[in-house]
Amino acid sequence: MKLVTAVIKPHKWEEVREALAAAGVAGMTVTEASGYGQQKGHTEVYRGAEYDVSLVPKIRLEVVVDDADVESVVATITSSAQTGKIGDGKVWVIPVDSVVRVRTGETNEAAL
Amino acid sequence: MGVTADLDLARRRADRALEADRRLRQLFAAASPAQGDDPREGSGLALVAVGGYGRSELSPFSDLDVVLLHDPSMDESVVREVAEAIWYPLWNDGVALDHSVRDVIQMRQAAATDHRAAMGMLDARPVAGDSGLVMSLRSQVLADWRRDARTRVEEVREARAARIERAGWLAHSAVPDLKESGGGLRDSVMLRALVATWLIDVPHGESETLRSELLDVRDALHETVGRRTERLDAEVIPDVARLLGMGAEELDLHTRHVGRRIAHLASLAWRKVDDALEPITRKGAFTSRGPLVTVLDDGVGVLDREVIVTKDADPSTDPELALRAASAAARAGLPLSPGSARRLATTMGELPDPWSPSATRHLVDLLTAGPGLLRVWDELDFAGVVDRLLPEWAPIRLRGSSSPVHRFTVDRHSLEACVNAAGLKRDVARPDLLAVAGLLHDIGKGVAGADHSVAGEPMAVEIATRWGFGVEDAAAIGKLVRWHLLLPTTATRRDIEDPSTAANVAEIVGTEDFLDLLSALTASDARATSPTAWSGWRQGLVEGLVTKVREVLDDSVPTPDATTYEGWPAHVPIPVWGTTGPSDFTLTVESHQGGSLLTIVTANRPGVMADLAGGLALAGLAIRSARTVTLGDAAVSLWEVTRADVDPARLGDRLRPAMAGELDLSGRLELSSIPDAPDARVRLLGRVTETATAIEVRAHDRRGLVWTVCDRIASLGLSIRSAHMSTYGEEVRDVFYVVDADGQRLDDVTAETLREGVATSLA
Repeated sequence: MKLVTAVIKPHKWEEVREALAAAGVAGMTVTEASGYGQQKGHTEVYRGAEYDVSLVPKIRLEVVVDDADVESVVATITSSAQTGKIGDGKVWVIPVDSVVRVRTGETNEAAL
Repeated sequence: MGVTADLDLARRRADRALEADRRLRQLFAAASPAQGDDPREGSGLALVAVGGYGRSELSPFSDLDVVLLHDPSMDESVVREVAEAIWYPLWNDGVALDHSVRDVIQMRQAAATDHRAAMGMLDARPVAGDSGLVMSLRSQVLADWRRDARTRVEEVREARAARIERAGWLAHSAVPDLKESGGGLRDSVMLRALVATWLIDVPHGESETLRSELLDVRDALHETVGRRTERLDAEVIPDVARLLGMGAEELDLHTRHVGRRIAHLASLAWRKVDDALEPITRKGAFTSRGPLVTVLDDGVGVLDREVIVTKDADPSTDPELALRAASAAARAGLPLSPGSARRLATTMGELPDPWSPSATRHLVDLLTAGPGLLRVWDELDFAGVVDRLLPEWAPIRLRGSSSPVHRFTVDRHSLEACVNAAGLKRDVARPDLLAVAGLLHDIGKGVAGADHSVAGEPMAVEIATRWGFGVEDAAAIGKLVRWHLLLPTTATRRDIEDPSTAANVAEIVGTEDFLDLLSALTASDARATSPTAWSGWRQGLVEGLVTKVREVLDDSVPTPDATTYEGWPAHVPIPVWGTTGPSDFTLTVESHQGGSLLTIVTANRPGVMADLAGGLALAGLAIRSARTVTLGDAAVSLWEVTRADVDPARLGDRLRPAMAGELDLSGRLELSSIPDAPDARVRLLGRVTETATAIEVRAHDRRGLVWTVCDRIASLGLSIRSAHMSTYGEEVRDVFYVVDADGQRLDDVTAETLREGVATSLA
């Protein structure tokens, strides 16, 4: 199993959610986040003080998926979140040792 | 001193800038709209290098500071298109870009409201496009800067003060920040900005040369570390030095000398700024024969808020003049004129050996002046006067401390200790001896390979004698230097409740007056080291020890019998204990000297201290000290821990499984190996107490260390009466007082077995 984490632009969230639903991903954890990358939070045509780094609002979503589904989930997120502009974000994948569904006690793949 | 010629790092910086220019011009040419024969001139659009890039000073991992400047009338959608066409390829190439897009009006507004933007624009350089637009903007920004100089320099001064408060001084910080420290690269650029106001001037050649030398060090640091950093850590210095063709120590001193000189230039510049901004009506009066000097002492006066040597004074026949001028300046809180300091250094005659009483008195006045001492001593040192008064200062000048606890270089630390000592002069009978000892306490650190306290004693005696102190006073100063670490070392590593401890210290100290001096010197030294060196806990321990030593010296309190001491302070009540099981315990927590004091009552069984130490380690609590006493079936232990907000219920839950033997403590607290850390050193201490064997452990700090030692002691059937922990950076020095099954000192064979066993456990 893998934890897929993505940090994306807030206005792309609905599109990503619908794309993931269509791909069979029913649930995920979503948090409001802020951050910056290579562009230091500046927009393309920037009119601020060049010495400051700005934190830009983002959406962070996390979903645990079966190993077999990782590639398609990453591709779905990437394609639906992309605008081609700076600040599109990143997706990364880390291994998960075990998962439990709290309501039923089901574990691992049965809990997904 | 300088970089090896074949490196020419300045040229490499310029070459990087040229390469960046070339790339930006390519991108600009591809992106910008073409007009007529020459698409770049008169287009109303330009790429501008500012800041370090504007000065063509690009270090290996510098950002490119670039502005896309446009005429206000230009269509914003066109500007945006050009910006994207330039920025995106650079981002895709991984270039560290610090970019903005502004029209000329917005640039002036940014410069008007942010002094950092203004200072960056003072170095603005056209890279591509309409160079006329750039030069026009630069002229306007410069004119604005000069017109508003009075307010702008105050912004710069305030920002500088805040920056130095955060980053310290390059010359004196244990880990200097080449950019942000006082005397660092930002200070050097600040000098350019101050000169640009036209209020003042500074020696251009020297200032630019110094910045170039500091940039060389930074470039080598970037190359060595492989990323952008400004901190010259001790562990990277050898590799950086190798790159520059220097020795490690040579590089460290060279960098600090450069930083000290830049800081000095900055200090002189700010004094000139203040002088330039001073209303003419408040400046010093003039007579027909020149400016009116306010006389402070013979040959010493004040002119324009600086202490000077008057023109009729003759340092060659009056060698005490340097001391008079310095003490007058320090006591008045005024700077010593650099010109006067240089004059003293080059013309002052030799002081007699020993000094006259008046010279000694002026020296003491200087050293007891408080904070005013620092910049006066700096000025004297810069000019070379200190080398005349104290040649022994040279080996400790700008020398880094070997201990990670110290935040200053040795020379600065000594001066700070002296300043601190001035604040305690009413606590001692002889503030003069305290002040001199404060200055000289680390003079032995200039002697390679020696214990600096031991090496420093004869040096201090010789210096004090030369300075005119009598035989007894010089011996007292030497003794203060020799024993300046006695109180903090003993207080943190010995059981101060053991009567033997205070007795041993009292034997060395001898008198209450000397105890007062040593106590004041301890506080002055510790405060000049770092905040943690004089924490509430340490201060409490030292003061507790001093109280007990004083009781021994003045016989005011009957001294407990050292041969019957069982390790429990007489004044601490022992809790009542009822019948209970082997793993049960009671726990009370109280706030104590910045941390917490845990009183734990358990069954008296082998290994209980180890189990408690293990439980506390798993609960994440760092132990400062521990002691225990057994009362029949019960054992009562006191644990000092560093954390202040210990929740007794939560801690009890964490200790319970450890006490019940339900945890695999050896597995969970297995010592991690630290690469390159030296082996632990375990030794038996001499007869520090009559009633226990003291064993000292010095090792790299790791979780589980205390448990490991306690467990080994318990495995040999021995008991811990008390334990005293000290941490210095990554190093711990723990002392355990151990007794046998009968509660007695160990015999020599058992003691040696213990030592070997502990050393093996820590290997």
